[in-house]
Amino acid sequence: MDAAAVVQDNTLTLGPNLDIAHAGEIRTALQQLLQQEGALCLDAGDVARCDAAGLQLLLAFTRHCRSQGRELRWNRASDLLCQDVAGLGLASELAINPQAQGGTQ
Amino acid sequence: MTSILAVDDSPSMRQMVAYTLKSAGFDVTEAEDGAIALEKAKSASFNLVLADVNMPNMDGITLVRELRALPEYRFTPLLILTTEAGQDKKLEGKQAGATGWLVKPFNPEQLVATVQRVLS
Repeated sequence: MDAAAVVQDNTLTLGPNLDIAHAGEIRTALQQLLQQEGALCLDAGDVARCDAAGLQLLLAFTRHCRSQGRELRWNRASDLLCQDVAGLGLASELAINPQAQGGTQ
Repeated sequence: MTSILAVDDSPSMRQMVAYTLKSAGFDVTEAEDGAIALEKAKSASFNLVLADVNMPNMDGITLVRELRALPEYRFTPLLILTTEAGQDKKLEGKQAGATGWLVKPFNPEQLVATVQRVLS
């Protein structure tokens, strides 16, 4: 996938780079996702690189959904993303559960 | 200013560590794996090295062992970063010459407190 993020129906699929270089594009896609009705889904199974800016973006989005009462689910999350999120102590906040794990990295 | 070499292959973890330590007044240099860190350690002098365990090219345990073999790092505090799942690495790190360890996740206050403790 070349794009940083693609929205289809209620699911946003992240590309391999969740980082500051792609943060603008991902933010636009997240805003597009918010326009959808019902439960929202994130697919991060292909994330192969993430940095603090990318994780902050996801954190802000998760908090926004929570504050607005929007349901947010994870379809997949790559091992790399799960490791980074766990290492930074954000697993609970981002609500990435083990069942969501799986992907190419 | 006290200089610290922060070594981690995860950009997010490296950025968090660097930001936290810089905010606490330390001079921080970053390296993305053990091999790069070793080269940087040979070309500059650091007061403390903080290294993740699992990294490509050269892991943190090997880095500690290599640094301890250098006369200029014989008594330098060397801290390793482990996860709850990798706690068995603590003993391995200790045997390699690590001064101590931090278990991920840790909060910024814990990081600064640990660094200040081993530097004092």
